Formats: sequence, C-alpha cells, structure tokens
Amino acid sequence: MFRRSNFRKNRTSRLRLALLIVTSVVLITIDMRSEGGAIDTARGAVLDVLGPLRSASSSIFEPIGGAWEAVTSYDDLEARNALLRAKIAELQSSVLEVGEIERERKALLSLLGARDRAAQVGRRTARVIDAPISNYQRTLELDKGSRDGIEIGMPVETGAGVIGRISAVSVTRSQVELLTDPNFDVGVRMVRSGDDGIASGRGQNQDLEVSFIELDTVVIPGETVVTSGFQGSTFPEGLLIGTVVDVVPNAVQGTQRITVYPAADLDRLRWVQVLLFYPEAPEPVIVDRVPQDDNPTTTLQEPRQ
Amino acid sequence: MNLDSRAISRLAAILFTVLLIQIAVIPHFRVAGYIIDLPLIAVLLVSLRLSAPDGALAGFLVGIAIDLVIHTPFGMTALTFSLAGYAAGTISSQIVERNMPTRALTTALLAATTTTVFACIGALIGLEYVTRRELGAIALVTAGASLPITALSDPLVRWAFPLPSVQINE
Repeated sequence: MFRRSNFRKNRTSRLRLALLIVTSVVLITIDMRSEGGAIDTARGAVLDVLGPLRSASSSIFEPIGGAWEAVTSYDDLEARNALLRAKIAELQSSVLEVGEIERERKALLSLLGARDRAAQVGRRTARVIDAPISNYQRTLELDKGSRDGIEIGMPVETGAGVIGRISAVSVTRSQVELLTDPNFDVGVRMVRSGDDGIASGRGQNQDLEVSFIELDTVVIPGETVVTSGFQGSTFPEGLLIGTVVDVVPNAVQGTQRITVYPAADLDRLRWVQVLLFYPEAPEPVIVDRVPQDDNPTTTLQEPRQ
Repeated sequence: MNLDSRAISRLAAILFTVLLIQIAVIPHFRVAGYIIDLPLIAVLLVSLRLSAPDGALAGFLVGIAIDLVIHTPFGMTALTFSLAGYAAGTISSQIVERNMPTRALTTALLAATTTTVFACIGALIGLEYVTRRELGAIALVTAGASLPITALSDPLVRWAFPLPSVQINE
C-alpha cells in the first residue's frame, strides 16, 4: 500500500516538473521566434519600473563597489594596467599610419563621389546607468529610450570606437549588447586590404575574432578594422572597431583567424553615443522565373553566341 | 513539507528581497570579475526545505522574475531554476537535518551544476553566453559564494520555515 502511494506521489511530482519544463520551453520558443511581442513589452515595462531603483542604487553602491574591486582585484588591475600600457605603446606607433589611411579613405570616397555615411548619422548622447546583473549578459543600461528616437539594432559608440548595439528599448531606457558578447556579430573591413569579414565577440575581457578573411590577404598586426556597412546592415560604414593583434592562418579552411583588440574601453563606460542609423532596406532581387516542365513555351534556351 | 499561508508569505518576502538585492546591489560587488547568482543560491536553500514539486515551482517563479530583467531567452532561467529546485527538493529529506557544512557543500555543488546546466541549455539553442574558461570561473564563484551565504542565511531560512512545535506529555 505504502509503495503504491509513494509511486503515485512520485508520478504526480514528475508530472508537475514536466509541466513547468514544457511551459518554459514554450516561453523560450515564443521569445526566440517573435520580436517586439508581449514579452518584449513586459520586459520594457519592468526596465522602466526598475530604472529609478537601479539609478539610485548605482549612485550609492558604485563608489563602494569601486573600493571593493580595488581590494579584491588589485593584482588583476595591476596586470591589466601593465597590459594596457604595452598596448598604448604599440598603438601609438600605428596612430600616424592610421591617420594616413583615414585621409586616403576620405580622398577615395570623395573621388568616387560617395559620402562618408558614419559622419552624417545623427547621434544621441546617453548616460550609462547600470551594469549587467547576470554573468550571461554583456549589456549596459542607458538612460535614453524610444522617446529619444532609439530603436533596437542601433550602433553605440564612444569617441574611441564601437561598443555594441541596442538590444532592448523601453520608453525611457535602453540596453546595449556589448561587442564582446559571444552572440555579437558585425560585418567588418580590413582598412589596408579592403577585405571584408565578420567580427564576433568571444566573451568578457576577450578580444574579438574576425573570420572569413581569405588566406592570400595580407593582414598585419596594428592594422585598423572598421565596420563594412553592407546594404541592410544595422551599422554604417567606417565605424572604428579595433586593431589587429594576431593573425593565424588556417590552411584547411583557406581563411585566417584574426584577433582584434577593441578600440573602446568597455570596462569604464560612463557616457556613450547612440547612432540614429536607419539601415536602407536591401533592394529586391529579381529572379528569373524557373521554367516549368509542363509549360513548353518557357524552356531553357542556349545563350546566343 | 506542506506550506501554510504564513510560510508562503515569508518565503515570497525573502525571494522578492533577494531579487531586489540582485538587481540593485550584487552587480557592484563582483568576485574575480563575476557576479554572484544570489537568486539561484536562494532557490536552492529554500528548496532544500521543500518538497520536489514545490522546489521546482519556487525555482520557476524566481526564474521568470529574473527572465524579465535579463536579456537571455525568456523562460531559460525559469527552466534551469525549476530543475535546480526539483533536484534540491528531491534530496531535501536527506539533507535538511544534517549539519551546516553538509548543507553548504550540497548547495555549492548544486549551484555549480545549475550554472553549467544553464550554459549547456544556451549552447543547445545556439546561444553561447560564456566561454568554457569563463563557465568554470562562474561555477566556481557561485559555488564558493554559496558556502558563506548558506551559513549567514540560516536564521532567515529557519524564520521562513519554523519547525512545528511538539508538545511533550510527561
């Protein structure tokens, strides 16, 4: 009797767990398949409600947190300082070179009659009001939202370079997905060679990785990487991403794995600029009608010589 | 354990406070650069006093609240925390009467496992939130933090789940 009741109890308990798992999976599926639905609205509302609390707590706990970090991560800070000093020395040598390349780029753009799109895009300055609350998100919260013209996907930068893109917007707040997020991808161009690739985040305190650069392209450490701004991309052309620090050829794939050090310091962000960039919709591609077997009038014809 | 309305309201108050602390305070006090997952530790500590289905339900509700404020797929934290709550509830009968170090170590082990499960679910749906090296560090930080938190929060958990009074007739 006892065994039967225990079995029934276990079964009910497993059924309840199964119900919760199914509910969670359904919610995940709905969230991943829909954009701007009820879940996003709810998140936006929560972001608005918690905004003042987070701003207030930030102003109270940030100084204490800074002191805590200084005590607990002193060795890390020292090592990072040494690394940054070395990087500065390395980058200082390439600054002149980059300036020359930039002048050359602008000259080429004017020769081609093309406009420097990044310079013409409107910008909205926003204050970083809080850091991420979980290890699984590389986001920052900004004090500007949809009422300031900010939309999901817009690029965010500091004076030094790109830091990420807008990933969520409420009326008064917005969230920035940092470019070190492993899910962050952006089309980039190597300034020296003009070759295009995809830059991807690799996690907190990690450099970016650029893929799809062909093996025969000459890429050297110190080379500047900017956004490529393909048609339909949410990033305009020419925004500074970072500098090449390492190049590893992959003979099997016929490409190179390029490591890029981000130009902007993502650790100490206070003020950022959101680029009010609205990507142009890609032009519709006109595809020739495929000939059908049952229609004798639309058969494939040999091209005329 | 069957929960009366007083225990439920105390439990809700504790979990709500934990959520507010996680949102407002914890991100400013990182350990080795990582954020301590206080709601996860709270769910485990509470579930160690509950039955498996109640633990799963507590985990689900806390997870949903977390999903509303972080930018991971909605329901992913709820799924992970439900499993964590269920696991903690399943072993609660063997753990709840044991000494503090045993409970703390169990919480640490479950916290590290849940952290790994979360990252695995992310990878399974094509979202790699952390590298393997980072995952190890996060699991270690969460497990390490759960040891002192278990000891410090013991009076609070006892307040939420008071032992039934026993009348001794001489």
